[in-house]
Amino acid sequence: VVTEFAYLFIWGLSGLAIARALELRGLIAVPIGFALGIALFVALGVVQIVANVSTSPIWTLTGTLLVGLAVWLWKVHSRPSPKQWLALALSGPALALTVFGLRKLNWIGWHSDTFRYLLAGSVLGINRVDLLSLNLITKRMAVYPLLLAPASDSSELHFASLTPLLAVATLWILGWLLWWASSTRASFSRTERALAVVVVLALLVTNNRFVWHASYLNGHLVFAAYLLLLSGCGWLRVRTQAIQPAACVVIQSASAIVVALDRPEGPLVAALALLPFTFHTKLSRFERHTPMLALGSVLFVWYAWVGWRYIVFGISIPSSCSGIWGLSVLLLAIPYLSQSPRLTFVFKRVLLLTELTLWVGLLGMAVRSPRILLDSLRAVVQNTVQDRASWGSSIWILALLVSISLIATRSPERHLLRFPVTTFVPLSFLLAYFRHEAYRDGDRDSLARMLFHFVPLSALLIGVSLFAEWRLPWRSRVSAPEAQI
Amino acid sequence: VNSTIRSRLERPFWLLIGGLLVACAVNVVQFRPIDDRAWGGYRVIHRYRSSDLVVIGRRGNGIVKQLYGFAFALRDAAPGATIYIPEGDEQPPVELRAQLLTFGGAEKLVPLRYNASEFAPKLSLSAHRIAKQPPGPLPKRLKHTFAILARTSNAPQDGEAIRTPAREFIFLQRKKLDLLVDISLVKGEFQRLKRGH
Repeated sequence: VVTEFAYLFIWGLSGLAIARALELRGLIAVPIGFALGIALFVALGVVQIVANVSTSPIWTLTGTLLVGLAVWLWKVHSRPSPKQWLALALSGPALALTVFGLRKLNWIGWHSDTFRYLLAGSVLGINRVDLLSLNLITKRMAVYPLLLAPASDSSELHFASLTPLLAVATLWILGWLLWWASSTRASFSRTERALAVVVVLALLVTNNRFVWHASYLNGHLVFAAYLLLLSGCGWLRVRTQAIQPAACVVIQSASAIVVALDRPEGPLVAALALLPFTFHTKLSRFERHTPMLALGSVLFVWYAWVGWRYIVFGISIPSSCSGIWGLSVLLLAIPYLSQSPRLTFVFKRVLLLTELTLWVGLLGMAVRSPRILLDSLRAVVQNTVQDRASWGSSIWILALLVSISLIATRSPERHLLRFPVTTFVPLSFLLAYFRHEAYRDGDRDSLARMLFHFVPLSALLIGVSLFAEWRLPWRSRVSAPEAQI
Repeated sequence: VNSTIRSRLERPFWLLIGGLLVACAVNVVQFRPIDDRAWGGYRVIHRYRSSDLVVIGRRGNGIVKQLYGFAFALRDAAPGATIYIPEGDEQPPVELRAQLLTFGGAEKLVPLRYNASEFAPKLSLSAHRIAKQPPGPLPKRLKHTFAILARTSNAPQDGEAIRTPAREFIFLQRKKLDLLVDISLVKGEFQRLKRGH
């Protein structure tokens, strides 16, 4: 209990210092701070791995604490008020009780993949990076193993309270984003705004798979939470004054890095999620380019290290590794390329062209080898229509609500949230080609679990659409445009 | 009433709220049946007796039991053991070494110069076996089965190991069998091996 509490408390405390330095005010600093603290811990862990220094989690934690302290001393000049001191003093026992209670609950979601993560986490925990096999490095990546590693300090394999607390933080952040989304239209009452938040959160809380992922030992919840932060905070920055530019840049950069190093498809999804912001005309150059440069730099270093591990194991570097390394170079070049007048035509239509490229790529793959696509489509139907992957009807209902929202309503800047969701449709099937294997039926299928990554973001997209206008032409004649804040 | 309905329909808010409420209702109705159909680790309404994932995993999933059985058996038989392994190109696969040090709870792996399949002390597999590969189909990824040999008078259980006071083991290979052998069973040969080293 003590080890688990210490790690969670320091993650929260350091993240809170960063959140306060970024001028995130009110209670939202708690869940976003928690997420930033975890991201900082992960980033330091990645540095330890690639720099070939001790990966003992206690050093990573010390680094996290010191960075949090340095940020506090450097940026947060005001002393905490007596009220804040009291809140801080009470948060310790409250967290201790939560950790104790969740540990007693023995509430664990798992399957055989969980043990791959546990193995990778334990190897990092005992400071033996040399024992990470290529399979563990390329499939389990860095983020979730780094979050499991500290448990080895208390001779355990995982922290029981981390995943449930991250699920609560995800809901909290989603609720906050929805509340601000509702503020973009003046004509809604507080009751209507509160109702919107409650109903959208209820959509997740009543979903069997969301609750399961709150206990599931795998990187899926981390992926979903940080993807929501990346796109949600970016959208919020463009639409409202709720978040400062620097805060948005830090949150997006940290989230993109966590998403990219959480799962093998992470680099592609993170890059796609950042793309609409990188070319957004309302944002300054600093805001547009910094997260993409951060993502590109981290991918460049990580995949250089992965390539080196291939060489150490005497295996030639596969295209899956060199391809992402090449992508990182492209991401680093985008800010410079975007200045070129010759490419203006491309960059003005970059979202459309990217989505089109993915579909054309899938079509090309399907023509060359239709079997993988057909088998994958069959598996998707079995898993979501015939309910072999425990989703019930929820995925199709969610898809229907997202489609109605996108087709029938109009909301400014909603494409920032929509782009990662819709591009994942062709990307998910392209991933089957990249791994040379079709998806399978049942809960064990990776696509059936990957769908979860987009559930919180889709819920936000629907939530934003609640405050939209009808797209239908006869409606637009009836309703006058409302005041926009 | 008509004007109220009309004014409500002029914005998508209430229609989408209705859709969301229907979705929530469907979720609630389907929640329990989904859980009833799901296998143990995929269930939401489920509470284990222990939080020890090694205990949970080996009971609940045949693949986990097969893939990590060697390390789990070592943890049962001799936690904190020292294991001698061949050095250089002859050493066991990286995954196996990782498993022995993590799930197996071995304290350290000590490299020695020998060949795991050529070092052939006289051994009786059946007389000293305290753990062996659990019964059942082997996963594709598993190329070798395993056994742990140590001094004991008890017979092994399937997939479980008998606790042994032995703290030092040497890693050997016989065809497609990985072996951890209690040093005291091969004392003479081991001393000669060490002297040679």
